[in-house]
Amino acid sequence: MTPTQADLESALTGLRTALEAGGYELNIDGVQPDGAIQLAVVAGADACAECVMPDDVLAQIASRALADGGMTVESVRLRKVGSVTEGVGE
Amino acid sequence: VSVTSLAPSDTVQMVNPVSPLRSAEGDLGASRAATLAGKRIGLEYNGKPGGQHILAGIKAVLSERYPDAEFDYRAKPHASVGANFLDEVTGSWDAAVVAVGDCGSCSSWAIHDGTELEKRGIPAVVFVSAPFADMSRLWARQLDVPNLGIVVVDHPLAHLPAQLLADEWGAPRTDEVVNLLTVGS
Repeated sequence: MTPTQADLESALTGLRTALEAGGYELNIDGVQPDGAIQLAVVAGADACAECVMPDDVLAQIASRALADGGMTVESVRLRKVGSVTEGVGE
Repeated sequence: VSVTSLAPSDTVQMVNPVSPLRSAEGDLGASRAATLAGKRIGLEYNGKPGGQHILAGIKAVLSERYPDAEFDYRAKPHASVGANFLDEVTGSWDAAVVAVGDCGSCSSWAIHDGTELEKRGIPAVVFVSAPFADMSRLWARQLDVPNLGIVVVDHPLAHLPAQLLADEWGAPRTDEVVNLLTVGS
């Protein structure tokens, strides 16, 4: 069964919280026609490059969260939006 | 993994298929001893400001509680890399405390180190600040150590005074650390 937007939002709450603390927003584009679950990581004005986890780690954490939420995940697509400043954030 | 550039500030990275999801029921973690008395305890500072002071607070209490315990302090050169001394401490450390995950990247690497220590037979506990606790648990599950001990502290902590972090953020969490590193937790 195709997960609803609410399912995705609920499962990815923890990941969103972590990204927000580093100055990023997590937008859930949703299930795409090819079945991929697309996520957009949007850099805010104060986002720092070193604060966000590597893409492959982020994708695996998202996949784990979705699977733990009872969703079948075939692929996760990350859309990176915005530029970030170098430096160590909090 | 393929990367498709759409615009300088807007790219799509395809991860397809994602890495296999591991069994959430499996746990490759280390077995626990009954006590930390007489043990060699590794203190891994991951390079994130504040973590070294939390470790100092933990060490102060453990030293008093277990006078015959030994400590080995190691610091990573950067918080967003894996520890390069894990093989070296295998067989030497009996337990380990890692501090502190206080951003997405450094938390993921701290959890990586904690799970690697567990897989090497070294019980480990990782300090992580609150916003990164859920993602850290997910990552530990994905790395086959779903029961990795995670101690959650407030965020942010990087700019707090050293003594405050040692006395009020580290030391008071020692019972929790001991429980997570020994049998009966």
